[in-house]
Amino acid sequence: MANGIEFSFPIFGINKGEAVSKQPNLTSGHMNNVRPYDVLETRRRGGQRPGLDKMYSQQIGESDKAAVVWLGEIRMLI
Amino acid sequence: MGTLYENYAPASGWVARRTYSDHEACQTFTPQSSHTLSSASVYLLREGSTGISNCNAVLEIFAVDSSVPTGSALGSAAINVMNIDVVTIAWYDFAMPNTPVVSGTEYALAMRIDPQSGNANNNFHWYYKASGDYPRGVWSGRYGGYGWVTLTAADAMFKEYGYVERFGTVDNLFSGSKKVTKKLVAIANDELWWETSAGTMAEVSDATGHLNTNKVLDAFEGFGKLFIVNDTNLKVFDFTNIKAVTTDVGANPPDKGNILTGGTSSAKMIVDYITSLTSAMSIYGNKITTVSFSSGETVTGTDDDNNAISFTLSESQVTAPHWYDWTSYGNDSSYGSLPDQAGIGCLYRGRAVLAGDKDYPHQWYMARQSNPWDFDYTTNDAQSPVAGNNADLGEVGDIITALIPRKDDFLIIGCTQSMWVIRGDPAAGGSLDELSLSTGIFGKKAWCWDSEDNLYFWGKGGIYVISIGSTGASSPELITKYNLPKIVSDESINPSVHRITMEYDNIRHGILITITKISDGSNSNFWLDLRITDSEGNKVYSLFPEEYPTQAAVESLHFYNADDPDYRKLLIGGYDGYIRYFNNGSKVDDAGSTNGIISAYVTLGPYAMNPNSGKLGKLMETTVFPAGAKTGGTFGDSDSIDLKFYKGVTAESVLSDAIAGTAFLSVTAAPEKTKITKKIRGNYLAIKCATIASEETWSFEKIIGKVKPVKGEPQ
Repeated sequence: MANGIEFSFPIFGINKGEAVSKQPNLTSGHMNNVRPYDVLETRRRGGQRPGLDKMYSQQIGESDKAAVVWLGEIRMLI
Repeated sequence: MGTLYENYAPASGWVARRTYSDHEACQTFTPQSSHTLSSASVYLLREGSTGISNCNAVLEIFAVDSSVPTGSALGSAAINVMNIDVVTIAWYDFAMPNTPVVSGTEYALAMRIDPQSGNANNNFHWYYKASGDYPRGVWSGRYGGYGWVTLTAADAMFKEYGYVERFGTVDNLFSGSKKVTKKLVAIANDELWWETSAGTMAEVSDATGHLNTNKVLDAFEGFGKLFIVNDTNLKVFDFTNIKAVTTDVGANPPDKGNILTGGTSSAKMIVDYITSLTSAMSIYGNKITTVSFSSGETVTGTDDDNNAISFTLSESQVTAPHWYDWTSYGNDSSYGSLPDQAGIGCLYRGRAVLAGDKDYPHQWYMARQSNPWDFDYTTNDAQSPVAGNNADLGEVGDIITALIPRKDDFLIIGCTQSMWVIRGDPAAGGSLDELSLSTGIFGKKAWCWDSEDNLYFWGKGGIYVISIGSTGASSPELITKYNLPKIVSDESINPSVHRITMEYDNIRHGILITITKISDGSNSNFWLDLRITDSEGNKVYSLFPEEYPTQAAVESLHFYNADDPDYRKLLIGGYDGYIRYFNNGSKVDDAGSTNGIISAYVTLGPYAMNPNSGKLGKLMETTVFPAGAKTGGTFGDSDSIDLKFYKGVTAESVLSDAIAGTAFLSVTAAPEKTKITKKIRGNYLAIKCATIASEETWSFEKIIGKVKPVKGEPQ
């Protein structure tokens, strides 16, 4: 008699600290670029992470080697 | 009288314009903010009295057409001509009926005598300047039944007052009131950039050449300014104050907090900072009137010792932003001095706090409360400047790596090997205590707070959390000790090689932890999702590794509480100078001029194929339910998913194959429900789900298998 088994997305994230044969439920020892909430409907069922997009078209420092070393905001009364 | 809005009041250079009989004059103005005009003042002098003693000077407000009055007067007011002095030129107020005026719309103030009478020797003068510089209006005159003649270069002297409706419609409730706005600031390649309008970043040219991004750098906001500590470069980017300049401040320079008044403009400012106590100086202050300081006018006030302040402005005021050196007040030693260098800073209890002095790496410095220009540690009051070597609290016995304020309650000082906490104010009964002697904090940005007062940071053993309760900070808890016990050795972290940055995402409710190799942009990152709980509701610290294109490697993070909700996101300062964000609609990573595929995968299992662990079992069939599962339906649809099946005798061999080996079975799960009937026999099974191609994303609702035990011994 066959038993039904659900192969669930590991919403508890990565776990490399237990015996492989006793991989904790809802964890995985091997994953990359996935998140527990999907990008299609923001449901807790797992999937590929969201992509990175430019927020501003300007290149700060105007060079491919110009790392943005500090980012923050300032509040002011107007 | 109300708030002064538009005005033109030059200190000198004006001439008379006679008003009598049908000789009339008008001056137009354009409000910069909508308000209700309630009165107006004009600069007048009477000449003679014959025939005009029973006349009124009538001031009316009109709408304009081509900068001259049109239609009926919107409102008017009058004073008896004989009330105008014949000796001294003076301002005369006309109490106008309340007249709404709209920002950006031009109006005219027109002067006439009623009834028409008088002559060239019996009249009153409305003074004007032939070469006026009021920028939002013009002067016109008429007589003899002719139309208005406009002299665009001329401007008559006037002031208009009014108020803003505080109650009534919702639209009026806040109009004209002061409100808060926010601007994004970014630093890269020795340059400072700021958001001039939503979605547009521009370089601050004054700052170019005054920063060195190869040196330690930190910045913090306070008092409407950005204070930047960059090794020996200590700078201020000021968004709030106006700047005024004089070539000679006189005998009594203003103190911080003094109110200065422009003698001609009537503009007022509260002094914040001055660059010198003698001779030429720049004054930065918060202007509290709508009118502006103008060049040539005399500015007066009273200093803290009741001495009269008086000096002449050599330039008209300049509005923010401003870029200048961060020094003590007046750059004078009587207010102490800042450390020669710093690389870490924050604001705590209204004090500017500095650390990261390479010559004194264990030292912390605090400016006077609410005064970032005062570092005179010799004073002795509850708001005094204070430093580790000038306080009862003392220095910390370790190299400071991070300053972490929490509201006004305490300041955590992270060090390389330990953590300390200042509770309360160090000049008013505060204390300095050890928080941990077992871990420090990796760096000045390797920490963040979540929305529930928990502090997360990268320490000696990995990722820690400190919970803040009613009694203060708890001991650090290493949250990676069970699930990622080798995280430190796996990541090979080196402070001189890597940059670690952490930030809480208020929208996705998790923390992004990024590790970037400074030399080449290679990176290894984690998403810590704080929405995950177990079946009993306990929080599970769920970590998900991520990797980005080197161009988009993370150098800085900030959750931007922007005015415009379109920009209210976790922002990522990239290795290549671009600022990015996570976009649910994007199936690729922006890598500058190209896009990079998101190589996403997760291994499910290994699973024992037989309830008697280690014995044989058989997967009879597998059914995959991708998200959406019905192309074109109500919900978003997954793209196809690459499914690989691995089987083996031991769990470890199966996982090893999933990482680097060959799959037993490879299947593409279509966007819709997919049934896989291939049978798989083994002791352990793992399924790897992965992205197939660029411009694709995937998610699944569930994957169901039917497994049947197989008689026999392990293979």
